[in-house]
Amino acid sequence: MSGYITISRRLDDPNAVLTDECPQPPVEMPDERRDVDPGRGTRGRVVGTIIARPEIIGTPLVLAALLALWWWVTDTEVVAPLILPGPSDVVKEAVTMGQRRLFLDDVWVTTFETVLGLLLSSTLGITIGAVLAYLPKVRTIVFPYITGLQVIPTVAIAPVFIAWLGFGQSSKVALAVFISFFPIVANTMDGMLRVPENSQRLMSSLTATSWQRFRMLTLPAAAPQMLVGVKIGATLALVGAIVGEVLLAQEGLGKRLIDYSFTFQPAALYATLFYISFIGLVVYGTLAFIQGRYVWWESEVRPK
Amino acid sequence: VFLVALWAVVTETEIVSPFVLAPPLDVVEGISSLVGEEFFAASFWTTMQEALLGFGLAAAGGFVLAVVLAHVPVAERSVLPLLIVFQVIPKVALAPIFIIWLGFGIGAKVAVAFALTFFVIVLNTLAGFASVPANSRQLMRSMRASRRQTFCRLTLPTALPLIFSGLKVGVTLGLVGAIVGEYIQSRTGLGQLLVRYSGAGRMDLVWAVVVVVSFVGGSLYAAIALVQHRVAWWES
Repeated sequence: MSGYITISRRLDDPNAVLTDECPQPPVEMPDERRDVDPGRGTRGRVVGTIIARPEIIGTPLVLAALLALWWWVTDTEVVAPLILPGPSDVVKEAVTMGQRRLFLDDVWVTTFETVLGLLLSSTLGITIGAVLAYLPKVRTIVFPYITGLQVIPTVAIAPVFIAWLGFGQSSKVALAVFISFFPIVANTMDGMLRVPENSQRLMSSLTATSWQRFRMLTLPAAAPQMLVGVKIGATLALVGAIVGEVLLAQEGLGKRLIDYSFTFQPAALYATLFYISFIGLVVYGTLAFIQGRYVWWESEVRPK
Repeated sequence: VFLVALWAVVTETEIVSPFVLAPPLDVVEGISSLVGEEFFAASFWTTMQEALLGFGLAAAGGFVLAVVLAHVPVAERSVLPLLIVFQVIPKVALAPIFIIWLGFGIGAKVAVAFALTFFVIVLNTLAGFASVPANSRQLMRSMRASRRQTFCRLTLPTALPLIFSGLKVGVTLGLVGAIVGEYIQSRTGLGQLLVRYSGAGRMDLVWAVVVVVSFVGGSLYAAIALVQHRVAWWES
């Protein structure tokens, strides 16, 4: 019986949707409510919240378990420190690296390539996606190429960009744009094409101009899906920047990864990895924040 | 066709230097000369092995993990945020670490391919399981279906389309992982050939390899689409 209860609760809970594309709907109780309202019994509330949303303690527990495993494995030297340095070593290394001017320059270089690449590919991708949505004939001709290019491993073209644009940042930005471009186009187009027909009829019967129709219906209706595309693109843009730097570069975190790997400095290598992950999470988090703040009206639940 | 014609005109008239963009005929020649070579066949199979092994392990492991998580809701809700975080982190950055762990051979590339593919497959499989309508679940309950019956007759078939879209994305990522791993360090493989030819300025051969890699990616995708068509025929 208990199985049934859990299942139904999961399906009723709007927070339980299984994708990362879902902005948190504003139904959550802010924590301070508990303190303001002592009549109900704080303890019961806390227990109730934990039962309803076990991830609040579950996720930190899993994370703690992983960290503990890491610490134990390295502390007892089951795994050689050259292969996996202990967590404290990595943290120490990350802190000293964070104080080094040269390293911060590398962080900035990679962030710059990623963000510039993402901005360019979003602008380009959304424009082209919108054009394709409005021109059915062009769409039927071009669309097979866009799906085709999504299927092939785009990183294979990285050496070509480096041959074209040299060792500097421009080849990495180009790679970031190229890799992140296609999901943005496809999602923008898809979002604009899936505007409900009834709403379109309503717009027609209200004699909306095509500009009004675009601004008031198509754009808002497509925005959630567009952001899904941009979020996928953000992850890919960082991948593009890193791959470009790994392949051939003078600066950037990808270049540092290679350096530390070949000079066997595992602690520095792991610390760099954390900085890269941090960039990825900040960019993604910013987009998720924008989505929750400005595109709150609908969340398209459609995993890639 | 139009694009290829444009490509031919632009390069043959040397508006664009052949170093920047090799003429299509040279690329075709490059492909045919490469395909005959023994080292090319060896590289090709190395990369295929890495990509497919990584993909296969990720598909199997990802599916099992998703099934376990789907049966233990508390675990699912606890682990899911971490899975999403890992999905966002650029896993290609793990490649140098895998090379330290597993050496210069095929293992490190398999690991990169695995890391890239695994999370997509777990997340898609979980999303598939969650896409089962509540009504159908209740129907299964009211007919006294066992857990296993519910899973085999309802959950799995409903989830298949999303599982397959995960596999389709994943197989491309497996190839990406193998190639990126080879970029960093390798003796054979298509990624290694790309690095070597671009270093030597042989753009015709670089393009030839790019075309081959694209073709392989497209074929793998098509192969999975075909399996999907056979297995989950009711959706397509």
